[in-house]
Amino acid sequence: MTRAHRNRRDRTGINWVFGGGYTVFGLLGAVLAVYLLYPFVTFFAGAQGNGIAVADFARPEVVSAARYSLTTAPISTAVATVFGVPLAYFLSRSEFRGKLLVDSLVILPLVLPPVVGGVMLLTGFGSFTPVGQVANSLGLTLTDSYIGIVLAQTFVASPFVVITSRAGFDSVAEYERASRSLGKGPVETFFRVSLPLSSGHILAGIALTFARSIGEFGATMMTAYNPQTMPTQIWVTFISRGVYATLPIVAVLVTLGLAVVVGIRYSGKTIGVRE
Amino acid sequence: MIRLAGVTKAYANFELDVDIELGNEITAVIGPSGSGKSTLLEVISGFETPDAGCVLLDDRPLDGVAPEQRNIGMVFQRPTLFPHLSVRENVEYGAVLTDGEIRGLCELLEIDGLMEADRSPETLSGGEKRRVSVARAIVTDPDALLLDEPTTGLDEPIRRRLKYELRRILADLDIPCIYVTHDQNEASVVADSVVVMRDGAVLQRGEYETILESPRNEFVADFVGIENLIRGEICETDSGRTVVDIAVACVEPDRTGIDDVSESEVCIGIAPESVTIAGTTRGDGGSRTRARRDRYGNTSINRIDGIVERVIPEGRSRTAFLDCGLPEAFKTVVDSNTSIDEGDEVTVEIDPSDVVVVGTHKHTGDELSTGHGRRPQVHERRTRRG
Repeated sequence: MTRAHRNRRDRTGINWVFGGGYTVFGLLGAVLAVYLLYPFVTFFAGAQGNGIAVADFARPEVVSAARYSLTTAPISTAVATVFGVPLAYFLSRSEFRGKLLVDSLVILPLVLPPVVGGVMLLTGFGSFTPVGQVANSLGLTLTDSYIGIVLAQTFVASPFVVITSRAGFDSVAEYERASRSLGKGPVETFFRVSLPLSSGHILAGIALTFARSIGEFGATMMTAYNPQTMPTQIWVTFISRGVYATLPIVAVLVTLGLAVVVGIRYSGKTIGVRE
Repeated sequence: MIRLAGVTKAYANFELDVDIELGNEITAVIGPSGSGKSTLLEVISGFETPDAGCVLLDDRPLDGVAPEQRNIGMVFQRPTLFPHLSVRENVEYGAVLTDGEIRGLCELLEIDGLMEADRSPETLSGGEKRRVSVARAIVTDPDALLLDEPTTGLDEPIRRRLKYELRRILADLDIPCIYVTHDQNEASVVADSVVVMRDGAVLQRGEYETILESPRNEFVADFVGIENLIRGEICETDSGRTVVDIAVACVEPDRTGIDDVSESEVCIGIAPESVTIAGTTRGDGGSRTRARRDRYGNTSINRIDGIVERVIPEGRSRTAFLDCGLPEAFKTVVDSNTSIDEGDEVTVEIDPSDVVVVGTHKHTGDELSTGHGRRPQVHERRTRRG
């Protein structure tokens, strides 16, 4: 490139935008990154300044909320996985009438406000609904109960495991065909090829489902205000004692969230491919 | 032996329609993209179900037989080695051959060194991955082997070497091997016979040399690399010689070529390498009108006059593109020592034994411009001759 050519490019600004490390893109991205980080810094600094101590983690309502969240979220995640992974595989491999409808249904809880999901669940599983009454007759309460929390979490969080698992199954269809051409039937192929090769996607989906379950608030407020999970307890504490008093539970949720994000990034690099 | 008896498979904008029998030999299936080559393999392997017709493997109907029960090996366009298994585990995944036989095959494919414990497929080169995928398919001891463009994406030297090795290995299998490729040179090296496909139909099949000598139509001729395809009409000179009148000259192919076609309107293919420059006159390209007038008055046979439009070096030789008054430029290959430049007026001489006579295109009829605008001049010359 001649000097004149280089100067001409510099004058137009093309070099400045697209060359040398994409400066403009970096600056624009930095604005968002700072925006995402800033509230965390102000919250934790403010909590420290307001004398919220580590000892507050031991308050009975904090322990109770953590216990409910940490026992319901794994169950919701397990339910979503047991039924969601087969649904993902089915959607990935089959063509049928109404597939678009099922696809849309799977995504719907993601785009609806969770509180709307809670409303739907109340009309389907509330105490005065047919299903609720049958459950009552069996001694089970589907709202304002442990089961209610699981119902809400599963409704809102299950799309994560379905969508990510499906993406995984979609990406290994060619290997599946190779396996079948080598004489292996669909079941053996699923367990020896499809499942191991999609495991990264499935685990990421499980982790996201767990994180979404444990952080679920809107639908849970509608279906099971009591017993209180961590997000519900945050709301109650905020209303009664102010924003910084929520530190202990917020800290637990932020730690869990970080663990999930780091876990997904790590598993994405290691699972499914032999080094 | 594989037989596809009246097999059809329709898609939104394409239909496969074949009735063909493939013996225990290597058959190359060639054709442009979208001609149905891969669909043919899909139907044979059982991943696609035909709308009508039946696939038979050694007289065994494969209707309703799942892909894993057909015992048909397949080498995919991408190697599709399982990334979570080692190279050895990949090769042994569906193996029914004995350890000794597998070892022998791996030595033959020169992948025995890759079978060390825990070697990941991710560490292999493109050529090694292809060899492993071929080995993985062969160790299942298949009754037929399908290979879908197995050398696609490889560097030229690796590709060149692999095709010779594949020829050697596949020839020993004594099962039907169907080798899909878009490279006619590869087809000629690897396969015993060739099937040319287009728009889901088989246009011609036979040994590669046979297809080269007598392509069924212009499309086949063009696809197998026959250049200088020119339409003309068979007629007789007053001396009784049968020639093809191509409007700007007359070409006299070998009698065998002419006798093979029934139509009077034919297409001839003239290999650029078989054309020699008989005479050159320096020019600046401005005398085309005079050159054309002289050409139409030229009654000599197997000689064409033209003006050099451009000369392109190709390795040790050069390809000259001549404006001979034909719908497309006439190509001829000259060695690098031949003095020829753009604008030169040249006369080329055609070796009749290298002229291929093709039946008039029946498929779509629009592959070559017919040059009908020159017909009155042809008739005029014929009258004068007669």
